[in-house]
Amino acid sequence: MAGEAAFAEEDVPSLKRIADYYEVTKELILFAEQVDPLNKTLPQPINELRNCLDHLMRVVSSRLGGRKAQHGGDYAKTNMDKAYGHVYRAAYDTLDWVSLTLKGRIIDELEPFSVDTIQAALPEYYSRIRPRLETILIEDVAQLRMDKDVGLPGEENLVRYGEVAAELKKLFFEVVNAKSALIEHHLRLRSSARRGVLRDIAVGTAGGVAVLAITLAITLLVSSC
Amino acid sequence: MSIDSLKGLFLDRQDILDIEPGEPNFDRELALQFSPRNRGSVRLSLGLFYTREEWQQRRKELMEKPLP
Repeated sequence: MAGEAAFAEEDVPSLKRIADYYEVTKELILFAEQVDPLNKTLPQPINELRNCLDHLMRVVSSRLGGRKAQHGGDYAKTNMDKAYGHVYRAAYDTLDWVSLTLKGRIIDELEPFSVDTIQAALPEYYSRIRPRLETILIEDVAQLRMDKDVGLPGEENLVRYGEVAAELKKLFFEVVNAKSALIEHHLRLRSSARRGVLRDIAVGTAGGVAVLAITLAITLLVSSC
Repeated sequence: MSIDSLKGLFLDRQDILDIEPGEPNFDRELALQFSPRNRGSVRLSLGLFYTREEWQQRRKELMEKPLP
């Protein structure tokens, strides 16, 4: 009966929450695919979204008169909770992917350069950026992962993880924006090192020639006496 | 005629909605094999994805790698 088939009032906040998580997860997946160094995607969160859809369809079918309509309210509620669990894991796994990928990208951007170059071209790296990265990666993210592992899938935990990932993104772009200065300093150092080597060779050669000339002169002097 | 008329034509089961989808079991080779039929993700069609094992390996490496 069309008149009886309807979502319950209690469904609305749950559906809105699932939709919000889905939107955030989709944004994170698109961002992660862009920032991944090999442009790869990660099917695991997509699989979580598929599972979320599966449970959501059970809710819809139950509420709107499909085959599952004969089940009681618990059936819909149980499946709504499971749908939330899956979209939560999708968001969480994607945040994990984003944060680790950003860490990898920061390392990739800086690894070719010496400590001196990084210090000269990105003066705040060792004083501010790196300590913050260490705090984020070693303390914040590790704690968030631990909280998840002990089974506390709260919204607060996920929002905190999202904020931490957003800060990582900001720090990553600070490093990326310093790339031209890093390259410039690196090239300057290399060319000055090359000039130094050439100077050393020139000085060494001149010294050798002088010693040879003096030796020759002394030899000639001695032999003429 | 409605979409309902198609239900149950392919599998003789009434509990289709309650079947758990399960874990996807595919690797790059299988994805490439089916890529001509895939109208979805270009990345999946090109084999540009991490399998579960690859991601676990990469995740471990990234977690252990020190910052410069």
